[in-house]
Amino acid sequence: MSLVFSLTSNKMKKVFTILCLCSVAILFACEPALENIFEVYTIEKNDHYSNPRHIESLQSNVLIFQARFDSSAIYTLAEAYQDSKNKLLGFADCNSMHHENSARFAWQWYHNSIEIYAYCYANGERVEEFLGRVGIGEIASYKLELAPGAYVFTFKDRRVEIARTAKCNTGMYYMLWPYFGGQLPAPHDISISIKRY
Amino acid sequence: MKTYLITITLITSCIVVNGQRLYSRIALENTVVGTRYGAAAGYMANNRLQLGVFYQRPANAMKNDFISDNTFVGIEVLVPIAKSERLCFGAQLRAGLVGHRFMAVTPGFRTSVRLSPRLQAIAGMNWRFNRPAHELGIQFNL
Repeated sequence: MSLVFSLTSNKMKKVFTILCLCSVAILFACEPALENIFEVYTIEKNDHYSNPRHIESLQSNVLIFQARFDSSAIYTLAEAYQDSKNKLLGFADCNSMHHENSARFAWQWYHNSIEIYAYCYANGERVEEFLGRVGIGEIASYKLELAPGAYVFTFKDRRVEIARTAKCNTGMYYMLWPYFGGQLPAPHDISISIKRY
Repeated sequence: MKTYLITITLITSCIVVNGQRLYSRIALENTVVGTRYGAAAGYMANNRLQLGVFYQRPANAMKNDFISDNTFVGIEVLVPIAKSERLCFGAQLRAGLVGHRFMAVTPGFRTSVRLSPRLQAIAGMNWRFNRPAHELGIQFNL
């Protein structure tokens, strides 16, 4: 069945034109500037994935964002799972799945504080490195740079390089969003506010 | 260089053979990370389906200055959904490389209004950087 149809009457044409122009005008006016957007990602109880769920590819060498954790980031799991790393933001490397080659910031509630980690997969091998701590309600800046031979993490004046093993340079780098776990799902609703640059 | 020469030769040949069905377009796109400008050229079928190539670059520096090259180059296709003599509303898909490295796909909708037999005004809404982006432009039918 063809979706194409003809608009024959002049009235219909006018209405159609006006609707199109209005929708464009409204959207131009309402779209907030990027620096004003703090998007709240919520991981619901017994779930791993956060909402809203986005599909996006990385389109630059650098991923920069600010994040703020609230009191929902405090949780208690069985001792064996308390140091499981929860994921914040990052990307899968060139044409790879994220368990092959990827780089992300990770976090965990441990020793009564939120610990931030660099969390990578390089040729399927997981590499983690401690970056620092962040307080409840604190807005911290995160920078992840895709350098030729390394993923460069910058957090609170600490800079960590993790070797990048992916050989491919041109292709799809899909974004990775907040995720709880590890193996266990979120014990309660967890909210993280993130502002992208 | 060889690729560019072949591309230019093919486009020139198409102009000679099918000049009445080629289009070129200049456009501005307002994205969440800044305004971009660019051009496109391609082939338009009788049912107004369009297939072409496009080039786009930022009109000003990105809000962070870490990206040295974020031109967006690729192919585009427009499928008409509703059309009349003067109007055409269609779904478009652009796919290409940002900074010659990062693959990106941007779906959207576009309305064109015929101003003269060879000139059309374009208004579109695309999905870029996970946010709506708005496009305005002028299309020339060659």
